[in-house]
Amino acid sequence: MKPSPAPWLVALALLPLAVILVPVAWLVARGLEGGALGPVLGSPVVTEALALSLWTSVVALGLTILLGTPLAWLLARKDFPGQRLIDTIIDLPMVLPPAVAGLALLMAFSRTGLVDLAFTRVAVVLAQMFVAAPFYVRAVRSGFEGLDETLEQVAATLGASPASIFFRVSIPLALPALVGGAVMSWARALGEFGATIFFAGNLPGVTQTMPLAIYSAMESNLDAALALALVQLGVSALLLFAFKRVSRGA
Amino acid sequence: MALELDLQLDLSGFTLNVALRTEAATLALLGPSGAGKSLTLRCVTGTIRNCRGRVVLDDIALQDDQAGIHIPPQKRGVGYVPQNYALFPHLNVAENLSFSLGRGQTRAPAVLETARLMALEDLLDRRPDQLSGGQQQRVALARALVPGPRLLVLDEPLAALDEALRRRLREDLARIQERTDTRVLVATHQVADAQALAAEVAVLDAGRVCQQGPLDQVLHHPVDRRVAELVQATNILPVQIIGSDGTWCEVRLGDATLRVLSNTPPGPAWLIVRPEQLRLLADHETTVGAEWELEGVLCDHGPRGDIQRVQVRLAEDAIVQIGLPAWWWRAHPVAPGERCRVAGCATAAHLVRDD
Repeated sequence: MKPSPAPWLVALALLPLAVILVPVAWLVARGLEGGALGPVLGSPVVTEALALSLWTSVVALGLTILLGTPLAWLLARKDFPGQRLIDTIIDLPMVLPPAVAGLALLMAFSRTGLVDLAFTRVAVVLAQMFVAAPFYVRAVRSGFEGLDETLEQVAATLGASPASIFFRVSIPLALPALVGGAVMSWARALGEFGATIFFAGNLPGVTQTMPLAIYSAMESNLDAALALALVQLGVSALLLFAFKRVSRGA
Repeated sequence: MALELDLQLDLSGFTLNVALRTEAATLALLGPSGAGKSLTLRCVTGTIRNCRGRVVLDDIALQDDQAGIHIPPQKRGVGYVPQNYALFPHLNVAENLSFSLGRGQTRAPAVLETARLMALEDLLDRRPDQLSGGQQQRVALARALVPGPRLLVLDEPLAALDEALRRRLREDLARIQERTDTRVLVATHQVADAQALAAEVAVLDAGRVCQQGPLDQVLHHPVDRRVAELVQATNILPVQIIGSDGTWCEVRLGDATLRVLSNTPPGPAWLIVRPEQLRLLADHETTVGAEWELEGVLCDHGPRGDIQRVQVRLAEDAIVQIGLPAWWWRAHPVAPGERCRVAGCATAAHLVRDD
């Protein structure tokens, strides 16, 4: 029989759980109590914000997968000069405050920068990609690193071209990492706030995503903000459960 | 018709420099782990990019740096079965077998024929993780055979198999070679495995070929002490060659002097003799022909079996192992610590200089 852990250890271990659960529970309770959920859900501001959040984050995810997968493969499989530098650059958005990311994007892509994209839907997508792509690249990279290279070598001796090896061996075998990375990256994009508000602004129907709508609602109607928060919570929790299922299945 | 290798590969802390040429249908690379066997195999398959030199298979250069030839692994016609078999875990057996033919070819004639040859017909829908080790290996072998390779490269094919499966693989390979004229190159660290699969061996140590030739020759006439150790010669005794007439050597082992068929020049040397070529003499038995006789003390019996291994101390630092049939041992028991006489044949021992 395993020795049961000391009670104080159990209490200590439950503390972080409480730190997460208590606010969330309060949010849910207050959100339902406010009674704003029904009316808020039907209002055009919410449907627009939710739709915008969903499709911008899906576009951001699509672009991240398209561009991030080859990059992750390169980082995992090839040795080249500057690899560590590139590695650090990719991780940078994860440690950068979103406000800094937003400012940087604004400087590069506004009237005084390279191209003027600021305060457009493209800007929303760019901001989401900027903060969320590293999660995908990291996960997929370690997925590729975990693959047995002899599988790819054998595939080559069986006549498969490098592209064919990539699509018939590497991608299918790294699929759990790809899906996991995609879900984490998508969830991060859905929750994106700071970089978006700096770079894309908070224009209802144009660049106002769910987190920004919550922020705006806060200023006038707390119950509406809570209802929006509940919707966001539901979508995020759903994504996370899906992720856990996929990674357990792998 | 030959396989010719002249390979150089520099990795941090390890240099591979393998040169060999063989006309044998099957060649075993024999060497301890870390000798460079797997690297050599991968150089032959073409899956190591920075490997330099030449690989020539039946007069066709697969790689020749001087001529600027480097055929990619896809076009070499070299089938590769790595030590872990590397079956594609996301594909079933039929999909693994047909990988080289492209998608949707799981029932192609080449697949079915190879499946029949390797007795895999009933396993075609299984996933690799539903197969036993022996089955996995047959799938890996069959998968390499489907595209019709001219050379089959096998990394430690017998290491993970029990006796029945070892015999089966030997038969499978023999059948494959009978039907197709596929050459086979195997890497192994065990003499028994080399013996089972190949008539010719190249002994590899620290990235170099130390000796190459017919297996019997390498086993009985290793070129130096290191090769003798690598081919598990067991009895390697320090001796002094005190006289030589170009055919026979007078050799001093402890206090005894014996004659060995060898043209090794006088000086310190190693006497190498395999356990099965020594015997214990019964009380009134005498040596015959070209045999020599040494006195010793029995030190140990070793585990019992059809062939009993006993250890006899002949001199200060010279303990020999002797392989005796169990029936002989029952008829002539000797207890540990008792004196005994050892006979060996002057033509079945081998001398190498100690330098």
